Amino acid sequence: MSLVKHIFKKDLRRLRVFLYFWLPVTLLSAIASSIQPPADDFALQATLQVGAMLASILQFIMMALMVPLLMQSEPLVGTTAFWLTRPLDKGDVMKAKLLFAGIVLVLTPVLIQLIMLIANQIPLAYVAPAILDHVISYTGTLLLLMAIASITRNFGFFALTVGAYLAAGLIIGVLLMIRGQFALFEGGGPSVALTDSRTLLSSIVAIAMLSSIVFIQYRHRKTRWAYSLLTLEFLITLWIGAFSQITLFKTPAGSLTAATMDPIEIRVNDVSSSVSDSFSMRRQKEKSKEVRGEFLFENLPPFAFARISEINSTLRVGDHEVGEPTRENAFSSRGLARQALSEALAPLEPIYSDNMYYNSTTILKLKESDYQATRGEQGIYTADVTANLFRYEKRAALPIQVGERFKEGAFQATIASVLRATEGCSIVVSTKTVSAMFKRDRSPKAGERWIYLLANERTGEVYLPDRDNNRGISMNTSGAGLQSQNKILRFSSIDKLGEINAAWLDEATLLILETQWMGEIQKNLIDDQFSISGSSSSFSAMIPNTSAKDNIERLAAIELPEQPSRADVKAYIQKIQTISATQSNRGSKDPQIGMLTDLGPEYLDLLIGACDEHDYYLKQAIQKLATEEHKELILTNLRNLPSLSKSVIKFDWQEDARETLLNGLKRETSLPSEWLLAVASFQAPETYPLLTNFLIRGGNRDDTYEAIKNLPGISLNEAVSKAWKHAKYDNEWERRAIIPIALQFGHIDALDAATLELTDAGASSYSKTRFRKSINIHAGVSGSDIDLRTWFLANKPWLRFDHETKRFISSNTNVNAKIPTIKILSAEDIEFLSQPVVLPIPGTEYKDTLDDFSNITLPNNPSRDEVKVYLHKVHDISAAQSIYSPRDPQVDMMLKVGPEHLDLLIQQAKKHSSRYEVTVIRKLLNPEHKELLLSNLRDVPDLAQSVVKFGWEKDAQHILLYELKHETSLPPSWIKAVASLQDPETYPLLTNYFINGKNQGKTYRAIKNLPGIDQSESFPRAWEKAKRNPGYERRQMMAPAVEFGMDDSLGFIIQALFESSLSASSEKIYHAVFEKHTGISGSAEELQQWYQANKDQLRFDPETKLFVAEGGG
Amino acid sequence: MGNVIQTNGLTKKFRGKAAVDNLQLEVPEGSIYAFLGPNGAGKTTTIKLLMNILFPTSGKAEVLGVPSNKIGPEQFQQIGYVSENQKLPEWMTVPQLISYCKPMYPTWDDGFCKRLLTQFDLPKDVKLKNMSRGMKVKASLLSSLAYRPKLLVLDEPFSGLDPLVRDEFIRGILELTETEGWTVFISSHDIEEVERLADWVGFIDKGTLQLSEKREALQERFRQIEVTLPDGTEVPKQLPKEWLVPERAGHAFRYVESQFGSGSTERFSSVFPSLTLDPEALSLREIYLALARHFKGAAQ
Repeated sequence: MSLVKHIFKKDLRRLRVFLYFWLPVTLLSAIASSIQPPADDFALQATLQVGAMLASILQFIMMALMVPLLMQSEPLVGTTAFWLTRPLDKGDVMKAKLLFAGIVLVLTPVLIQLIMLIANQIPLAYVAPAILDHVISYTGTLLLLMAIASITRNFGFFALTVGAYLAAGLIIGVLLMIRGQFALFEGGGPSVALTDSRTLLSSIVAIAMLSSIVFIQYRHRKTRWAYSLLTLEFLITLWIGAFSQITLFKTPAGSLTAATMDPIEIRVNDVSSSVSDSFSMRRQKEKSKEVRGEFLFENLPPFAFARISEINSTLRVGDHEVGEPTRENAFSSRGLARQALSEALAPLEPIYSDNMYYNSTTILKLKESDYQATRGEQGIYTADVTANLFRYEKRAALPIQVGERFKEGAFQATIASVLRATEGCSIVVSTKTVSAMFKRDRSPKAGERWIYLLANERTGEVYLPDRDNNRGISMNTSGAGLQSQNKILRFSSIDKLGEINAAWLDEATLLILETQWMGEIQKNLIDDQFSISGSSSSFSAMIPNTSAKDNIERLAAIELPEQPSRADVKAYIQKIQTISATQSNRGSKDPQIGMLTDLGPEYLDLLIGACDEHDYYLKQAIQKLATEEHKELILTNLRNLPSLSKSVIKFDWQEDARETLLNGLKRETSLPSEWLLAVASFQAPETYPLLTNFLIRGGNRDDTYEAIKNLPGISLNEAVSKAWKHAKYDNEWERRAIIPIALQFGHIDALDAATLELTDAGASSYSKTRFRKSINIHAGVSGSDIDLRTWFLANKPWLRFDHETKRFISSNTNVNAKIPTIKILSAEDIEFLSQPVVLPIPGTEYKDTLDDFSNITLPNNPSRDEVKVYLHKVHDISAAQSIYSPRDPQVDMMLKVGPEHLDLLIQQAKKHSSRYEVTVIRKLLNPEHKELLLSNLRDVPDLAQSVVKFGWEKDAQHILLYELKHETSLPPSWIKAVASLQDPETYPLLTNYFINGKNQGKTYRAIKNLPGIDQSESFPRAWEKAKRNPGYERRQMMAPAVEFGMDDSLGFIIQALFESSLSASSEKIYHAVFEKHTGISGSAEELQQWYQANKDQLRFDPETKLFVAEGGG
Repeated sequence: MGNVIQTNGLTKKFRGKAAVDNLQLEVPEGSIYAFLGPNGAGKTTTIKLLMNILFPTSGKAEVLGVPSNKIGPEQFQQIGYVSENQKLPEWMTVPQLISYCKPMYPTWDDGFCKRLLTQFDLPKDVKLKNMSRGMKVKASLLSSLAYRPKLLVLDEPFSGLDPLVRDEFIRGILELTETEGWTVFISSHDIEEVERLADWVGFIDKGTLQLSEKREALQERFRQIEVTLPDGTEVPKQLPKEWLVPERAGHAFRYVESQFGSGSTERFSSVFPSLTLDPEALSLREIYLALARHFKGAAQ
């Protein structure tokens, strides 16, 4: 032993300089990874992060420097070593080396780790496995270096061998990683337990083999053997670590019982949301296709959700059976399961961001040829589905205060910082955990285990962090040491319902939820009406801002043989689909519809087979071609192509389609409104639960509500409540659709949502009009959008809903005094506004309803109510019209009410903006009505014409300018009114409106002669906008653009001259404009010829306002 | 008096080629044995086999009565080994080297060590890696002598040493062997230096031991014979096998008699009956060269 000690001391003396660095580096490595830097000191956090990484690298480098010096001071290779002829026992030398390496290179860092773990209050049950993990890790590294040092004669050879070993490992590692990624794409990643087992076993084998190399060298000095053994060790550990299927650690059994599992049912919820090429890392003779869709799990335990891991599915069409097993990547990160989360948080309601969330699964994988053969055919789909069940469980609710802590085993989460901001806050949660190989959670993952949410029990609101909790790969492969991390959670109510403010935050808590694995289930499903439709995503991707015009040449190149076979027709349809798939815009006048319709009704089956719900052109063509003769075909395919419900309604086949219609209602969450109308047409109370359930769960809730609201005996209170609960935090489309309905049913948060939407620049004017009207009716107030929001926030605490009047009533009206434009509406106004709106029928005019006028009469000396009813009746009959004329009899009928009832006319105009009312009001207005007009000008902007007529511009200036600033759709008379002020201070507003507003041509004419107005900058911008706006706006601006000398304006004139829809008057104007500014006249063809020949030489002379061809062409 | 080193059919092959071939070697106790041979003859390989640094392909060797492959710490406590190729722990200074070596040897003699240190005039604060080759050899020798080994094995110890150091080295060894009665096994191709030391000589060539005997007997046995041949005298093609490296230059004829005194006169007369024998004694170097040339010629 004395010689062992002697050698140990000698080595210690020799390596003392290295030890001076080794100890601090080891200490730094442990501290940097476990120390908790201040939450707001990002520089220190970054420094520590980099420090920990560098310290780990430095540790390895130092080990790689110390070990060869240690071992090769008594080298085992070569015949010239001093010690070989000295009385040193080889065993003693080996002991001394192992002792030194063990104490300095293993024990020291492990002890430091141990101290760190204890200092961080990690429970003993986690400390021991973590330490064991560390020992294995350090020992493995050390022994590798010792083994290589024992078979190399000097540091150069040692470095070379270590480099070769690591390079080989790295190259193979990268290859395996790529293979692993491919495997993940293909759905074949290893399970966590398998990965752990491989790591542990390969570590143990490596330690054993490397130890034996060291031992053999000290005992026998058989370097060649040792080299062979090292190679063998590399290969064996590689095989175990990457390829073996050994499982030492079993996946836990889970908490599912037969009683929980048995009732769970699974069915195909949605088929062929897309069909894509299947990815494979191997070259295959024939590509495969993946049909994606969605499975629906029913009767899941409370708060549970499922993640599919494996599907073994086949489709039998006739005698043809297709399909192959597919594995979903069960361990990749996934989004939150919204329904389960909502259930787990109930009665609290999570507020999601508006991002659409859709998660589809590969429900069938099949060969390309099988796909082509079975596409559109109906068959029997069978699937053995393996899925993992998870559930959310609330674990803690921490007050939002620094220092609040949650502890679970080795996991600790502490609120390290709270930063309150406008409409939100940032919370830094410091987490600490230990993930030792021996004590790792081996259950499958569905995103991150811990989910952090900001909740307020009183308001019932729960906010998710701006970035969801589901980032990163959930499979934990990190080391065993203490891992601390500052997780920054940003919660914001901006652009969301509700408001996070100081008072809200005072009551708030940080909710910590755990995602628990429940177990694995295997279910079998059979669907005997399955068919693959949909266009394959292997077609070209959609290109933004493209329409059929961009594909016109390609479409023209598609030819159909004179006597086409069915295969020819199929190919023809597919070609049209392929070309159209690149388009981002589609319209009813696009040639594709005609091309498809021209095929004729005999090919309707092929069109239906090729169509999916997203194929606009095919759907249009099918609708046009479908006749009563196609009843069977349509009813058979109705399930897979719900848009066929239009034909069902059209031909009154509801009873024949009853079963399909009802099944679809059970199964789907997205159906066309005709489907709902078809079911509603049964007026059968037994279908009501299905319809109300669809209102709750399905899409387009406003359509559903409209379809079912008048069904006899249906009760919608609860259904609307639930629907609103689901929709209010759903995507903006769904939320906006249901807000007016929820308002009608007295949901105050719908009032909150409606007023919030009014201030949202992203909401469409259509939506805003609906919201304003709903607010008018159900809150009894009108005003500007901003003021309506202000009114709501001010009155919120005092608002209650009166179910009889269906109105929100505020018990404190004092607060309204400070809100400038708010007006409390009378009961009469509200009743008036509440009358149903009849949508105009395109192409109808008063003559179509002339017979009805004879029934409408105004009594002599009518009361206000009688006048109101009279006006209402006239309007109601006219509402179905889409063509108006000031000479229509309605004008005279309304004029009968006289100027004394002008206010009632204005109220009606405010509600409907009907041209008759506006025409009549203009006729009845006289100077006495100044106040009445000015107070209603904002709501009936068409009355601006009267402002000009009576010279009230100065009086209306405030309103005129305010709206000009905030609106983009004002009548031309409004602009004329502002322009008539001739005030240079208004010019910026006018030019801004000219660029961004509607009716640019008219605006231009209204402002172009204003004294001192400069349009040199605004006009080109306005023209740029107009050019992108085909139709009316562009046509209006073409003549001014020529007048202004815009380079490309003549081209647009020429183009317009060839448009078939060009009116004779416009044609005349364009010719005149062209001649005026070029001096050239002639037919459209001649002008085009001239233009083509000269367009590159044309220059505009601002003085003569003429386009002149340079070079005299 | 027994043999400190004894080998029997000792053979070492590298990739099938014998570096030491069937070596039969005996080194008597108390002798200074010069193990001679040209470069690549197998001297160092033999020593490494004896020191258990290399393992024999076949045959046996015994050192201090112990089979060479069993030589361990106990034997090394009695063996001093100095080699030109030996890699010393160069990060050490001489005192550190002494401190490192001392605990390994129960017989370590501090006084002797101190004496040697003074005698060799080695610096105390210079690391070995910064010392000259001669200094390193002296340091190695110091660490191999201070415990008074029974057997001192020196493998080409004179390489790179300047004459003065060589002289000191040789005088030191001679002194020690005389006073301590050590056995010295020294391999070298520097014959002149060894001649002053050795009382036994072994000659190895191409791995085979060609001779092994006492130096005096060897020198007694070998004589240089040179005669002037009369005109017309022919030298027969077949000469006695004892005559080594015969050569003729004009009238002069010269050879080395390897068995002088044992029928050498008769052999001479039988070839040159009319001439008179005029033997001349040879130095060890001349004998070595004669033998080396003889074996080289034989090989060709």
